[in-house]
Amino acid sequence: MIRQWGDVNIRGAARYIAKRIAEFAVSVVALSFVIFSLLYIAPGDPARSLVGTRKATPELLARIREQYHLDDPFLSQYGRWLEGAFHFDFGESIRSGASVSDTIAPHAVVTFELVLISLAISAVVGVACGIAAAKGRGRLRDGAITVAALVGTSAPSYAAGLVFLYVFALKLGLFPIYGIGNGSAADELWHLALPAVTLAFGVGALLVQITRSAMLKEAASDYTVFMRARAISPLRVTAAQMKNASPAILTSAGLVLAGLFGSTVLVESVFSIPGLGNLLASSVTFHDVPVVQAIALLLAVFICAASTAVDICVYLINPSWVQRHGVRWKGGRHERIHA
Amino acid sequence: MSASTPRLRQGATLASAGFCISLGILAVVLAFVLFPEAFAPNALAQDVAHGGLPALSSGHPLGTDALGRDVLKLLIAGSRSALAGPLAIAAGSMAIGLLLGGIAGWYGGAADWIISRYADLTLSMPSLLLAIVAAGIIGGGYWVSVLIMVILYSPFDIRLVRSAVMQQKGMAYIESARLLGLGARRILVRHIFPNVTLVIFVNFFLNIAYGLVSMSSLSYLGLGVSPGAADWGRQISDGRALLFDNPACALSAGAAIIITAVAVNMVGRQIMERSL
Amino acid sequence: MINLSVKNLKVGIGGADILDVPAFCIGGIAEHAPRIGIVGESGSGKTMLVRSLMGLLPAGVSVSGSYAIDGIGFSLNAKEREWRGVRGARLGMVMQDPFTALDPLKKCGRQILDGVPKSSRASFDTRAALAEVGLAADIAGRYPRELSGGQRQRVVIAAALATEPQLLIADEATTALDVITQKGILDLLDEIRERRSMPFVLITHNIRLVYQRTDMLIVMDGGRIVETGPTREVIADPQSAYTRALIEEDRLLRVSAYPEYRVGGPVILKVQNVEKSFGAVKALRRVDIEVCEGEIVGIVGESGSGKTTLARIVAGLESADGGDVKFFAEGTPKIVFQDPYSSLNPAHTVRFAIEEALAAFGRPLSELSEIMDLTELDDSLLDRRPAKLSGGQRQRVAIARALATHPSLIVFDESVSALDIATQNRILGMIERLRGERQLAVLFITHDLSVVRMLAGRIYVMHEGRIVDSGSAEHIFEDSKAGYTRALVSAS
Repeated sequence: MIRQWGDVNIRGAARYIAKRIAEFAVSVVALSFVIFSLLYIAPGDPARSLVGTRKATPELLARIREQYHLDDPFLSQYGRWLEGAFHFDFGESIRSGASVSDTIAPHAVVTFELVLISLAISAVVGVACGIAAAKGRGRLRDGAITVAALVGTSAPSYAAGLVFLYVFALKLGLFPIYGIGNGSAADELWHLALPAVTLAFGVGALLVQITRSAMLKEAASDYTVFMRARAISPLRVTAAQMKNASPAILTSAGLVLAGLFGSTVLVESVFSIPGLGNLLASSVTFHDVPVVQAIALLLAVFICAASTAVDICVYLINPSWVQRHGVRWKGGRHERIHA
Repeated sequence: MSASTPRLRQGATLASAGFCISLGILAVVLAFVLFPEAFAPNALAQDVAHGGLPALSSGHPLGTDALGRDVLKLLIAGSRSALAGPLAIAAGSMAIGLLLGGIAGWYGGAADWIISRYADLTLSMPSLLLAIVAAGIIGGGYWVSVLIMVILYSPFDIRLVRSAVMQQKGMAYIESARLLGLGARRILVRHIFPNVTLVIFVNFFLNIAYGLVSMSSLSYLGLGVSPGAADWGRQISDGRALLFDNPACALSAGAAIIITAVAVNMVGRQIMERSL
Repeated sequence: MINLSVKNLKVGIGGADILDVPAFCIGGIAEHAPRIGIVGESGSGKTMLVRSLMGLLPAGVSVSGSYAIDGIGFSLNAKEREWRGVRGARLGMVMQDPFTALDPLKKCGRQILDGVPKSSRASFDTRAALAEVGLAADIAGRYPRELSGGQRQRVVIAAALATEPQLLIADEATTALDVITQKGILDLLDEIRERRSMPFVLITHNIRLVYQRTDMLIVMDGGRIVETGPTREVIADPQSAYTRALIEEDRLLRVSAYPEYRVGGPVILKVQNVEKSFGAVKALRRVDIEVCEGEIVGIVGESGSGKTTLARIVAGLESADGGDVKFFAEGTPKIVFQDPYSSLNPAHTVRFAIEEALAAFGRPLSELSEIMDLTELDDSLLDRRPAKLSGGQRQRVAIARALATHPSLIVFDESVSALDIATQNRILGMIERLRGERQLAVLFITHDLSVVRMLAGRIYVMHEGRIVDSGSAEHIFEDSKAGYTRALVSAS
């Protein structure tokens, strides 16, 4: 007996979810492996890399060797690191000597706030503009939105951020220039506004393109013509089109989240926001390997988790669509994002 | 019923105008890449006494940077490192895509399974993040970053070539070529590749645009290019401190990146749309 | 009864008129609801004509003319909101493709209900609406994807009727369906017309259909109306050359002798007990056929009957799960596919395509011009690529490519189905000639009875993976006892 939950066949859904989670696990393990092994691919002695900017005395090198078990076989070192990672234990920062997870935590909060705000902005504005462009196909507003979207998807986020910073903060004085303010929530939100818009510009533009082409496809469909031929209200026609276009748009949400987490590194640096990205960039410069590894793993896991969650949601909303378009449909043939 | 209203035709005219302008821009940038010395001799000559001059200063239309170097010359000289890497990325990724995608699409079976899983896996990796970490930890220069990008970009080409080859494989004319008893290599080279070159070419263009963004992002973070080199990303991060004195320093580099990336993207998309 | 009239109707794309109709009217011409047929080939403007009367022209098409509904003027360029008074309550439409006309994400009952006018929504009975189109009540709770093509088209009709139209326009509404399903849908339209006294317009490329199903006929060609009148009179005594040609081309309207049933040549293909499954689907069940030298054999069946699988097995593109395929002549059988757009490689010229085939079989390249002549291709086409060829020319190049290898047997898999009737007839004539000149055996696979009626001396009928009937053409058409064959023949 096939058990149904709404339109979803439960056994099929369970199989799909299990498959998708397994893929997620494989991706995360592979990523963690790559991130960890980079330290060893680097030319020279890993102990020296871990010295960072301290003075490399023989005693210090010996201590580091012991602390990081550098004389153990590679795989057992990796296993130990991964096990620590499960408990958010990434060792100590070379730069500050403080625990890596304590160092990262406050930065992570800021980055999450930033990403969430820009997710909201890009989702609302991107989808709305995409629909507006499709509905006004060939008109001026379509042209303007399409060009803006092309610029948004092509321009690197830090370059766009710099232009925004100069125009809106420096010249027009509409927004603060640097940092996240004096600590009050309202002030922080105020400081995050322009960076969030910058982040949203790039990924929102992708959403515009995906939404526009999905809605155009639905508008040209036979069922649309047939609904119009029956004098069904335009509102209801648009609702049907949006429902049919939604899997294509929703699937891109995974891409959007990946783009947000990827670009945040650069945008934070432009606006001097003390988030994960800024910490990553400065830790890279300081060769603070444990911090770099921890942040990279954290961001990579979030990116993979986001796309997994989105895929599962899309499946539950419309299983047949997923079956038609395959497990991971990344927008059209050429839609992708800087991440 | 192909539609072309006055409204839509107007859109088409605009698009082809954009296409021509983009081609013009790319031609200029290419000239800068090939002959930087002709347009901007001694771009790296420093003159610290005249650092941070604003735009429209005498002899320096875009002013100077903190080290007193002429911003316009820097901009022209920086085009090389902005485009050389992306070109190499696009070419390398295309080569891998043709080879692995062709094998996966034509032979199917185990080869396809392995190559597809490899592509899925690399596709799930955030490329810019990994490049930052790799460049940071390994500390390799520009070309190490390029190599990482080639590896992380290639799954797009692999998938593209694979699905194009698979689609071709099912076409009636490929089946009849097989019935003629033609060999696999002849069918791939004479019958399939001529029909997939276009999508690959378009993707080549888009890869350049993405590569431009990725590579300049790295150099913006100070990775991949040595300090003091002429590079657009570098110019932005250096010019940021100069935003009050000479905003043209950072803004012109930002504009150069945005305009070039938009132009490359525009050309790629227009070729794609015209060929459909 | 509704009365539509339009004068000086012009529809244009990018400045060029694709439709030019000085005067056209529907309704008020008969005591009882008339059945009106509009016939013409694709591109003749018949769809544009009715779509312009409903404001449903595709984006980018311009329209002008004076339009009146029941004597009251209405602008052809009206706003979407104004058109909503005309669509549905006045004019209903049934679209061609039942697989795409319904919203895939909405249950059928909901879709029918969507179009019901607000005033009658409270009293609307979906069960009765489904019963009217011959569907069970439980269809209301199903999604379109769970239904067959014929069922979906019935849901589409129910949805169109739910708006209580005064005139129903069926635009190629049966073209995408199998012949037997087609007949059911057309019978249904007739029934509904009787019950509701509602006239309908049947738009089709098939002159036989309008002959059987309509009272009034409008013939269109190249965006113009070339002839109108009572259907019987127009068919019996066509005034325009175009209508005459249309009737002339229709193979079943034209009464001719059955192709000769030839016996005696040696058997060159023997298919015995062949079985084939794709997963759980049994495509072929114990199929036996034979083809003799220089003979044209037809295989007729609906979509899904297994006929294409059989063709591919004979050509060596699939292998059978069980049974034997024996080929007694030299070489291998060649195949010509259905779709003229994918049968030639778009990257290569006609010359390349044919020379490659010649080279592959070690034939001298000098045979090129002989083959071009045989397939009635002009030498000026040699350096063209497929994009610059018509559908008929492409199929002839595909045949030329097959002939280049001097085969003893060519399998044609629906090879003319995508072409217009005049082109079909020309290619069928050519195949018959090649059979005579080259002692070529032909296995012709099609869903279209009229094609085998014209060409094949011997016919196999396939249904659900089995050969259910076989015999001479005359036997199949005139006195077969097999129930399925008779249903098929009577539906054509």
